[in-house]
Amino acid sequence: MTRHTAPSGPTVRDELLTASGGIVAVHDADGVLARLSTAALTDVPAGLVAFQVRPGTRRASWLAADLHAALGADADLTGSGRPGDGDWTLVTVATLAQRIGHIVVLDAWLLTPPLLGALIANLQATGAALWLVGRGVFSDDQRDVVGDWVADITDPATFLTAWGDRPDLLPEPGTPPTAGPPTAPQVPEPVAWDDRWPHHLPDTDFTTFRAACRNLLTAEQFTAVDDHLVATARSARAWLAGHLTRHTPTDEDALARHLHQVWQDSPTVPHFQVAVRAHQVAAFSLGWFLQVDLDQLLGTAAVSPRRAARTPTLWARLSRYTSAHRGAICALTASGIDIADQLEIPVEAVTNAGRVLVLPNGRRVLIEDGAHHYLYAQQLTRLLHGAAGDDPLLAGPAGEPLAERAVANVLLTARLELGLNLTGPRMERRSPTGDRWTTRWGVSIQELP
Amino acid sequence: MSARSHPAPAPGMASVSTKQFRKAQMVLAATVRSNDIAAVYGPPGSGKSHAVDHFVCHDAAMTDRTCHWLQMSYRPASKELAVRLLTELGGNPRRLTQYELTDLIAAQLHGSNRVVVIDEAHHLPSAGLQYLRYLHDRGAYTWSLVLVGSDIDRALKSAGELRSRVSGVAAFTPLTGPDLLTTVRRLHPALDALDHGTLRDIDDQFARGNLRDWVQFTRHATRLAADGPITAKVIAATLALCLGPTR
Repeated sequence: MTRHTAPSGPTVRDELLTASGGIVAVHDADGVLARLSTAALTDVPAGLVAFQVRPGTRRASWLAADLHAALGADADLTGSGRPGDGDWTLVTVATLAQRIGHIVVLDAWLLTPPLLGALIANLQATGAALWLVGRGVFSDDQRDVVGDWVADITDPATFLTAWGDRPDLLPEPGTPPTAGPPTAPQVPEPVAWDDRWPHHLPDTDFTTFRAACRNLLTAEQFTAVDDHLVATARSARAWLAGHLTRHTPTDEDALARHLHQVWQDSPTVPHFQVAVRAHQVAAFSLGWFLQVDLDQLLGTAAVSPRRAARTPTLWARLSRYTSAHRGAICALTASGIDIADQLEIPVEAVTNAGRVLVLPNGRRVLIEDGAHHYLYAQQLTRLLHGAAGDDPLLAGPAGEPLAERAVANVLLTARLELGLNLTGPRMERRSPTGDRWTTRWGVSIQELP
Repeated sequence: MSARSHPAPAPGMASVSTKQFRKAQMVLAATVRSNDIAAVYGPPGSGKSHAVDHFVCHDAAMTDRTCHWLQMSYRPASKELAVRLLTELGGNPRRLTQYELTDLIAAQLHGSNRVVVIDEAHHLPSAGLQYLRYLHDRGAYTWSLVLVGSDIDRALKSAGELRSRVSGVAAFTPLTGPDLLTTVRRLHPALDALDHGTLRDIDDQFARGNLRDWVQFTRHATRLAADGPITAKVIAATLALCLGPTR
């Protein structure tokens, strides 16, 4: 006996899309899909988004705004424009950058035939599969419009089979709503503090630091600090031996960049203090004197720009901006590129869908996971606006050039509106380099005679 | 809670619980508890608005819930509906587009556990009903909508999307037979003193099972009787007053 199993949801989806050329139209005359949930059909990281047509929609820009909102855009944030004035170019870019594979439009038959045609034409540019689901009346005029794209109308049962793998597709009354896109700014999650670590460390030079720690900290705290000091000193010695060239300006520049990375990777300020002392010890053992003004150093660190705290979840907050240039600026800043250099980056510098940036000087910069979407989206926006490969990557939503002040304001608003801290309290218009080392970081390096 | 305007009850008149009234209380409680949509329909004067009003004021399901009561004008445009709804919710609709109004209303209602009662909902055109359904969808079962009107069932047929979303329906019809007599006797002690035949005569000539007409008759009759018994003379005078020269 042969056992037949029902085809799975993805299989049915693929078959439907193959047969219909990428657009599926569903007419639900009997209200089978009356309780169809947009939340169940929205999973942006998985490439799925759904939105519901508003009754009385009069302009295509409303549809663009609703789709952008479903993708996570927040109309209350800076640069969103008036609610309802959606921009199809920005929506198309957001859809492409977030690699959306399926767009589900609920109540599609509430649209007038011209708006229905405009919706289909605009969504074709995204390259995503389009699912038009309508309940109630499906007029002949609407059928004519859809008929230009779709040969057959799909029944609700087939639609439910195709998306049967989505949980809570038809929720029962009284079912608690599933979590949708974030609607309010989220406070960054605090990093869990290692209880073994002290909140404050002795303020002494590196020569007496270890002894002071042994005298002033508890045994458990000292063990944790000392382990970190020894391990960091070993790795620092290896790094210093491999990178210092005994050419002071070059060495200061290299050390500045290295300590900047250490600072980025340190989970807390005390960890970084210990790392600095460890580098001083390692440098001294190699015949270098690394001088550190700890107060000045930590004065620039009131906001801790830790790489560890920047996760794809944190980066996802930037999708709440309608314009891609805001996310791109934040991604570039997080990669250590200062504002002046950001404005020099050409469109063609973005490669590998935003994951790698090739600067004009040939330096390759890896973009953090989750942040790369925004660089890719900005590149697409510029290309859609007709920019050439050597035109500046950064520009406003309409392609207008940006000044340094505007870029700095983008970073400031991202901090205020989304809690995304990428720079210290002093706006980092220039990344830390050797020439401003002492004044900005309170650190210098000299070779011992 | 926004108050509904109550007609002044006659002295001694009681709120009578009919079968339809009790069924409506049950339907409304179940619907409101699941934050869904209910429709209460029946001819004018059959007691549907009174039943909903009693529910929002007294039922345990309304504990810790805010009720907003909107009396619909004749065939309002969607924007008028949105403006009235936002105003009722305490927002300022001035200079807002319909898109902005919708977002503000949806934001105020989402997660609020509120109950919105739309009285005379049969005045709403199909677009208005669809608009309410859209707002309820945006709320994701976190607020409840109660539609009250005489021809709601017919109006819902023009908005199929909403009809299939209505989870609770309570229908009111004119009272007849023993239900009528029992209800009328409980309405006022003076009516309880009348015999079955007299009550049926009054109903045949004037009220025809309509509770609002019975309340009107009772108010006039008790006033004319000056707190005394309702005699045949009082009944004749009251019917003349109620029916008027053209009826």
